[in-house]
Amino acid sequence: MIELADIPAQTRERIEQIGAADLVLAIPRAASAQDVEGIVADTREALTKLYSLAQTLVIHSGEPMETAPGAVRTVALPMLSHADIGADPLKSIDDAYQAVFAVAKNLRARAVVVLVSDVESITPQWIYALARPVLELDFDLVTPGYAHAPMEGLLNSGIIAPLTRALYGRRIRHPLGPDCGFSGRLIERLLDGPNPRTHPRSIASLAVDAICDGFEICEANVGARHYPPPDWSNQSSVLARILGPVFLETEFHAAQWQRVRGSQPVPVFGEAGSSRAQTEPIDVRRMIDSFALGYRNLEEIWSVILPPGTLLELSKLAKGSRELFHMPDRTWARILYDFALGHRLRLINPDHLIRAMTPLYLAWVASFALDTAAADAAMAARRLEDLALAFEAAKPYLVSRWRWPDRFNP
Amino acid sequence: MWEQVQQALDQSMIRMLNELASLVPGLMALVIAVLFSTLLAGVLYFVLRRSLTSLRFDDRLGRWGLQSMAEWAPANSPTILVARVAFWAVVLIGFLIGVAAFDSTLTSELVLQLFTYLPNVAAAIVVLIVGNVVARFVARSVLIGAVNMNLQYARLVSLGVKWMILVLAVAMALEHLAIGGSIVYIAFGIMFGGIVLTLALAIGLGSKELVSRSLEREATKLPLEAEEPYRHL
Repeated sequence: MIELADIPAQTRERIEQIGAADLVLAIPRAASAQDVEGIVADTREALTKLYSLAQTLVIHSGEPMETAPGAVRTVALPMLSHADIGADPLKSIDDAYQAVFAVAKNLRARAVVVLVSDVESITPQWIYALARPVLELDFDLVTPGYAHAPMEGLLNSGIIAPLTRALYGRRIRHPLGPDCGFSGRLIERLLDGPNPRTHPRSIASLAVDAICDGFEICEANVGARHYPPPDWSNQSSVLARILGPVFLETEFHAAQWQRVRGSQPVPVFGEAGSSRAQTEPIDVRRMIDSFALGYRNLEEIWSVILPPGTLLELSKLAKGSRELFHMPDRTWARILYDFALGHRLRLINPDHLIRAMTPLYLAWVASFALDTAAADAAMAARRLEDLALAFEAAKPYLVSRWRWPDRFNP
Repeated sequence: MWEQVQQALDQSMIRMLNELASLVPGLMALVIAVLFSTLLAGVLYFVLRRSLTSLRFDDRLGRWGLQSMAEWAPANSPTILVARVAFWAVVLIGFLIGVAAFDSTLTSELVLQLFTYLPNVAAAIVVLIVGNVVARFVARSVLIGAVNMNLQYARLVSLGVKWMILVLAVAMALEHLAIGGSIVYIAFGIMFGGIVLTLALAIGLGSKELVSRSLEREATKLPLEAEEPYRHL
């Protein structure tokens, strides 16, 4: 866990010089002087829209630089840079959050905004949208609402968002951010949370902890976000790094989510941007082939995790025609729940378990792509809403299997 | 003359009877030792079987990847296998203790050598078990990785890796047991080399294009983009 003492002395002195700030804005990807100047200008513009002036500190990963006197000051925190951090970038993002939180706590900041996306995507609207609900409306966590093409961010749309909604009862479109706004109260809770050895904190902890501890959550539409084209041949690494912490959170908060029924929307601020058209073609055939290969070779492993009913459905899917390839939402929801349960029971090595899920994820992506091939943005959104409802409807299945894993095995 | 022959025969008979008589206590000790050890082994068998059944030992072994133990266990139950091994081990120990009661130098040395050999047997068993677990773990890793890389012969590669590790473990176990000597080394070298060559040919010949495409992709990929999973959220 990163603490203030881990921050370089020069940066610590600068922070102590500053003393206090209303808003801390962290831009880990702002490494060049040009990026930092651009962010400072955007911040000044965003602050003009606020009701009252907020003393703001911008934390970046570049070299220390002087800014014009005013409400916006900067401090360099090189450890935010990906180049300085060790081999696991996702863990480094967790550490980046913790470093920023440690600084913000020291400055007694009322609000913290962390913007991890590409600097080119960030506009004054992003900063304003994520800071205002915390500074002026007393919210504790502001999650982003991005405008993107239907086939972008599928890991979130197909797994994280519906899972969070069904388990914790909040309809948050991007529970894992990664661009979020936090209140000082929430940051203190996140920093002073349970023993990090028994409950290691990560991006997956942020929204879940906020929900379970009763903090006020809202969503802010920030506009378009640039998604890099996914490498469909390397999804297992992505899944392992993201789903591992998500499943751990599911285990840790089991007592809470088992009591939740249904879901509630969160307040949404800002106008939803228009979704972009899908420009990158999706190779559905390759995904279906990957699933078929996975079924032939990994069925033995899947049979340890999935019940016979689900295996039978997968068998039909593997042997069916490609044109009619369709994975029902109910099946996908149950598969995820079974893998979450398998992760908890340690049926097999957790890393093996999540990586063995990759062909199933590709099958869902292929099915979703075929279902929404001729659909517009509104239809794609309705399709995702149906998926989320299927997750909610299948929750009793998860609760039963979680409580009686040996007795309830359909 | 007949009296001398009679006397010689009587003396031989007396010597033989004396030898037999001297063996009787040892034999009685052996029988008692075997009976007592059998009784003890029976109790141990019962306790072990009940304990392992309550711990669901068979299911846990399956989860730990040791399903093969069930295949060659009596009634497909590793619990019964372990209980029976413990039973016969105790009976054997009782027999060896009983044999030592003959007070014969030869039997004492035999018992000593047997007990000296037991740690090698235990080490060989540990090597085999660890080798089996490692082989299954690595085979599963390779299988999942190869499937996710869309390699059609994923199962072949996985089996090859598994057998490589198992062959290595068996060779190490045989070396511990001092069985076979140089024949084991040669056979191991041939088998291991054969498996490696087979895998190399299978991967090399079967995936030339895949490897070259993969290398091209790696060369053109942006260094950070491949390792920033949160950007796909």
